[in-house]
Amino acid sequence: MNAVAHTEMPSDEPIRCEGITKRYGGQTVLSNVALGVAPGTVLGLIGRNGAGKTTLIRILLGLEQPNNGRAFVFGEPALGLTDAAKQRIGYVPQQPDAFAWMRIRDMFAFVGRQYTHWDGEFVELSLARWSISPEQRLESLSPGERQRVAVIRALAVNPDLLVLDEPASALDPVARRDLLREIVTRAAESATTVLFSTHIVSDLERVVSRVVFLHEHRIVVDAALDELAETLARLTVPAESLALAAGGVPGEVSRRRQADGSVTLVIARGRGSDWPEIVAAPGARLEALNLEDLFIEVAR
Amino acid sequence: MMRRVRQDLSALFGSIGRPGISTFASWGCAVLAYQLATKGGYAGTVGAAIVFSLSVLYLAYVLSSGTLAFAIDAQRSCLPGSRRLACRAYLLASALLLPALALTITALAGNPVWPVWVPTVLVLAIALAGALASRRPASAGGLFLLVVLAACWSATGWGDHARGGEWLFALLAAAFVLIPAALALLPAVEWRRLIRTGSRPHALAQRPRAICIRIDQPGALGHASGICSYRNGSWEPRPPVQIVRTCLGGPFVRLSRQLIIGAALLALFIVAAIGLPRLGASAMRWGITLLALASGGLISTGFLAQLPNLTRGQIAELALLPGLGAPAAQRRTLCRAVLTPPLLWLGVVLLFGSADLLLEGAPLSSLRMLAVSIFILWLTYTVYALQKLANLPAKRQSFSSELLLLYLAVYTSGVYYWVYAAHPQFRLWFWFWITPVLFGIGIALAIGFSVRRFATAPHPFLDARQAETSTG
Repeated sequence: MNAVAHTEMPSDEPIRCEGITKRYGGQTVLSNVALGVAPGTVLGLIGRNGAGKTTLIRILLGLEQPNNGRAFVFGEPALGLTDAAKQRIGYVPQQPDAFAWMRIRDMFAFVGRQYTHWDGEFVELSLARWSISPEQRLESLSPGERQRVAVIRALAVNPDLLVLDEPASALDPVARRDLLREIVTRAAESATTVLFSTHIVSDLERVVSRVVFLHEHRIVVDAALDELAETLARLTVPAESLALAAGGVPGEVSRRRQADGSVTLVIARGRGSDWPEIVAAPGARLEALNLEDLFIEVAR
Repeated sequence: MMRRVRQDLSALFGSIGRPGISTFASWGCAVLAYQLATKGGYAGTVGAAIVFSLSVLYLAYVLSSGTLAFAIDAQRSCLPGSRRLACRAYLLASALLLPALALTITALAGNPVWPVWVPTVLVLAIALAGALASRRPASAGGLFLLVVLAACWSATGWGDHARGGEWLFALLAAAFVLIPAALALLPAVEWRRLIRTGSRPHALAQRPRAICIRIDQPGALGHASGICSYRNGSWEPRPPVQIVRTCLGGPFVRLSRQLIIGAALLALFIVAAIGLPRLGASAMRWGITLLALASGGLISTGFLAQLPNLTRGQIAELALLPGLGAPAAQRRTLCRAVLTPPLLWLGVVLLFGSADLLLEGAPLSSLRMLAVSIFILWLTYTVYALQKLANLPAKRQSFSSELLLLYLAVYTSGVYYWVYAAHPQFRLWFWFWITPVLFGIGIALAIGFSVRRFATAPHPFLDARQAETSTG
C-alpha cells in the first residue's frame, strides 16, 4: 500500500493527519500519530530533542513521505500541494538557508512576487525594527539574524497557516518576545492557524491555545492549555496502593518510581470526568501540573 | 589500540573502507601505469602518466579532504587533541601516498622519454601544494615556485625533450594547469580564513531613518502595531525554471570540492594533450581544442557544484514556494533548470570551437573529436546531476560517483593511449567495443535508476531518506 493516499479528505482544517508512522531504517520516529488542527488554533508542539517534532512537521507539510498514514493541508494531500495551498502557508524551517547567496532586499523582492498577499511594507518595517540591513547577503548573517529574516518572510505572506519549527532557538529574548507577540496578534486578528514547535515551554505558555506533547514516537498529551491543570495531574502513591490497582491506572500518561519506593504518575481525565479511584487511596497525593512540570515528568 | 586507530580513521575519513579501497585502487593504477610507461614508448608514457596522475590525485583528494574537514570541525568545536589527530592523519595520508609516489620516481628514472613525466610532476606538485596550502603555506608557495620554474624549463625546451617548436603548447598547458590550481587554492584559502578567524563578517545594520520613526512605537513587528494594511501588490510570479535557478544561484556562486576535482581533471586533460602536438596536429588547432575543453569542463563543474549545496532547509523552502505547479510540472522544471543551462553553454562552446577549427582548416575528424568530448562532458554532468536530483538533499559525494568519474577519466586517457600506440587488434576491441558497451550500459543503468527514483516519488523535493525507507 502506498504510504500516503492521494485522495482528498473533505475538511476545512488547516492541518490534519492520521495514522502517521515514520521509520528511518529500522528506527521508528513516529508511530501512529493522528492530529487535527482547527482554524485559528495556536498549537504548541513540544517534546525532547529527537522526539520527532521536525519530522512530524515535515510530513504535515509534505516534505517527507511517511511509511504509513495520510496528511492533509487545507484538505489537500500534503504530498501534492497546489500553488493555491502554498500561497496560504508560511513556514520557518529550523535552519533557513534558501537563497543564501542573494542580498536580503533582492530575496524579498524575488520571493514576494510569488505571493498574492505579500506585505512589502511589513518586510521593510520588520527589517528596520530588527536592525537588519537589507543590503547584506543572507550567507553573511548570523544564525539568529537568518532566523529573523525567515520569520519576516513567513509572516509577510500573511499566511492562513503559519508553521514554525523551533523558531526561537536562535533568537535573542527581545526578538523572541516580538515574535510571540506577533503570533498572538495574528491568531487573534486574522485567525491565523499557528503550529509552533519548540522545547522552550515558557514560550508556549505565553502564546499557545493547545499543546501536543510528542514522546517516544507518539502523542502522549493533546490538550487545551487552559484545561491542562484541569485534565492532567501528578499523582504520587505508595507502591502497595498502586499494586491494588489491577490492570493499571486509567488515564495514565507516564510512570516514575521514586527512591523511597513510591510511584509518581501523570494521569489524565476527560473534561468533567472524575479522577480515577486510586487518588483516594491511603497516602496518595494529587498535584496540579503546569506545562514545564508536565514536560519534565513525562520526558524524564 | 586497533579500536582506537579505527575510531581515529573513521573520524578523519568517514569510514575505513573509503580510504582503504581508494589506496588499493591507486596503487593498482600506479603499477599499471608503471608497466605502460616502461613498455609503451612515447604515447604509452603519456597515457601512463595520465592514469597514474589521476589515481594519485584521487587518493590525495580522498585522504586530504576528509582530514581537512575534520581539522576544521575539530578546531571549531574546540575538540582537545584535534591538532595531534590531524597531524597523525596527514602523516598517514603521506605514508599511503608514498608507494605511489615512489613508483613515479622509479618510472621517471627508468623511462627513455622521461621528460614526458614533467607535466605529471607539475600536476602532482600542484595537487600537493593545494593540499598543503591551508596548513603549510610556505611549503605550498615553494612548491608553486618549483611548478612555475619547471613549466618555464619545459616550455623553453631546455629539458631537451625533442618537442622542437612545440614550446608554445607547453606554455599554454602550464597556464591552464596553473589556473585550475589557483581555483583549487581559493577554497583552501577560504578554509584557512575560517579556521583562523572563526567568525563571520559583521556588517552593521543600517536603519532607514524614516522607517525608524514609524516603528519606534509599541507593538511587536509592523503588522502587530496595526499600521500595515498596505499590500505590496506586486504579484508577478516568476517562471518556475527561474525560481529553481535563482535558488541554486549562478554556476560559479559557490566554489566546492566538485569544482576542485573538475579543475584538477581538467588540468590532467590538458597535460595529456601536451604530448599530442608531436603526433602531427597543428599548434593552433590543439590550442583551440584545449581551450574549448577547458571551458566546457569548468562550465560543467560549475553547474554541478550547485546541487550538493541544496540543503534540507533550502529544499523545504523551495518546495513550499508557490509557482512551481503540480508535482509532474515540478519534476520537469527541476530537470530543465538543472540539465538545460549547461547544455546551452556547452553548445556555445562547441559552436565557437568548431568555427575556430574550421577557420584554421582543421579536418572534420577534429570537429568530431571535439563534439564527442563535449558530449561526454555533458553526459557525465547529466549522470551526476540526475543522481543528485534523485537523492535530494544531496549527501556527501557518493563513493561510487567518484569512482565513476575516475573511471571516465581513465578511460578517456586510455583511449588516447591506444589510439596512438598502434597496438594489436584485440586491444582495440577491448577499448573501442567492449569498454564503450559496458560503459554505455553503466551510464544507461545509472540514468535509468535515477530517473525511476525521481519519477516515482510523489514530488521531486521529498527528502531522499524517505524514499529509501518507505514501504511504498
